[in-house]
Amino acid sequence: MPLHHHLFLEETKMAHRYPKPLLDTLYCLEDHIHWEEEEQVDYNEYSNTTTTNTNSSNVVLLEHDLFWDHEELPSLLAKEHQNQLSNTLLQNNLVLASSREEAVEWILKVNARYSFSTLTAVLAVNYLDRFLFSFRFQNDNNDNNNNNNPWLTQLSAVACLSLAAKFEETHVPLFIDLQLEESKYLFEAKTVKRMEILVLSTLGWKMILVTPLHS
Amino acid sequence: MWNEESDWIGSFDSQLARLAECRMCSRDRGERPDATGMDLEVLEVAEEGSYGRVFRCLDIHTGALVTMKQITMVRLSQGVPAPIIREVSLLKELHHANIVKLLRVGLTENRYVNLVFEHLDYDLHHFIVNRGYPKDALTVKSFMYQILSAVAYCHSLKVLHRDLKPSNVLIDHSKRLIKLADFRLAGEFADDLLYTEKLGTSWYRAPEILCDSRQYSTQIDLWSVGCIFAEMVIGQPLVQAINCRDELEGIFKLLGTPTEETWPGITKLMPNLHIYYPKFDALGLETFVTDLEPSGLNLLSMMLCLDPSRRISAEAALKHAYFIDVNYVSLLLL
Repeated sequence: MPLHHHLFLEETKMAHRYPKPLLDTLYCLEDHIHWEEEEQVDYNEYSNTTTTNTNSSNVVLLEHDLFWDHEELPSLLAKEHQNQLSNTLLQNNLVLASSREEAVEWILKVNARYSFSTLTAVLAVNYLDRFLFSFRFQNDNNDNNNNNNPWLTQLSAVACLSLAAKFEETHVPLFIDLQLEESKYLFEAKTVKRMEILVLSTLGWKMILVTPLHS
Repeated sequence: MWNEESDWIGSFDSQLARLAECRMCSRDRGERPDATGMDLEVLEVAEEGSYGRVFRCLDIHTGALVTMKQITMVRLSQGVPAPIIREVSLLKELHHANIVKLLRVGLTENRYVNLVFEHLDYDLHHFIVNRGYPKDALTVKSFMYQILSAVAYCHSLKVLHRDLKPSNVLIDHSKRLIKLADFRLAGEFADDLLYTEKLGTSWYRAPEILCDSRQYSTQIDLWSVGCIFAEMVIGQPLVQAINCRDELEGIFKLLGTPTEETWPGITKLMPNLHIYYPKFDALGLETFVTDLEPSGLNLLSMMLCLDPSRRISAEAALKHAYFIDVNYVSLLLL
């Protein structure tokens, strides 16, 4: 159930992010035409021909299109695979499932507030799920640990979103600004820093879902 | 109220600190969050740079030699810097026989990221200098094939090396095995590298970077590989200038000053090209790189192509006729 709710939130966010005309282009049956158009634009630029506004607009549109087609689907599939892993965890711990749901909702709110990319949100949720799973596994002998520290999941969410933003975005807000969205706790910068280090170590520095162009 | 809240924050912060330390210990089987306490015995400082230091170390558990690169973290008030997150994550994803292996990562909260790599006993720079140069044509071909295999793999993952040069090409001497090393930090450190005027840093740099272009891609690595190729054959760097401007002039002397015909877009990239640089006719690579078979010279000319868009890719280079007998080469060397 929490998973469905999460997906619904994501779908709503998608619909909001992309106006309907753009969404229609995602289902365009004549993709090859767009591709040829982009090639022409590139050639013109290369030949030092002046690019018209119309062409610029097309390029922007195509970039969105390409971004959606080439990056979103693999990362969403990867996320789904990861969620299968953590779904078992959530079924066995309702308290953790509840705090995870809150954390995911918080991540999505902050992501929208700062206009981060969808990939940033996907990365953040992936880090959070892997971290909670690993952490839970290591503390299996002490069920009370998570119950006694409800702040831990929220702090994990802050650290995971920060790490995802650092990985994917060009501009990352300060720790304090990242936490402007309403939540029960407000963590100091040095606390988030320590949690970042803990998350990185726990995940073995494997922070890549989709390999971005590295330049 | 104020005191109460302050105590609470201090209390759970302390708790988290202990938790972090405990996790790092259990995760790395005794690794301590300390600069030198990674179960390594430091043997010597091998290198110092603006980004940090490189140590030769002995792994206490295995007895193996390893290389530890210690990167100084900056702007720590906002946690682990983005370039380090990207770079280490990237290194973690590179699994190839011809790329040096990152064994483990250690973090200290205060200052350093410690990257522990497998150690190789030699690098191509020393190999060339100490042996004159590898005159053995089969060794050159084998080394080139391995370098290109690693570069093609990286480029397939959309990863650039950015700093290919002989000292970053490690050699397992007994096996004649090549491993690329020293992928440079991206992001905010890239600018520092791009404009370093240190002697030797510009010798392997692609012309589009020497022109101060900020739009470059995988082709920059192919230019560097071409320079390495030539150096293996002639025993010294192809163009040895002391700064970027003179390096570019040396390239133009060798290959001809580019025109809009030979490098479309060059007049936009360098509007004052013909004010700053004389109009050289090409001397030709064959003038400088003697003793290389015709197919090798052909491949070299496709790597050292001024126009990045026409430069050969690593993947295409591996299929070039120069490597037609590469399997025989591998068998011979083994």
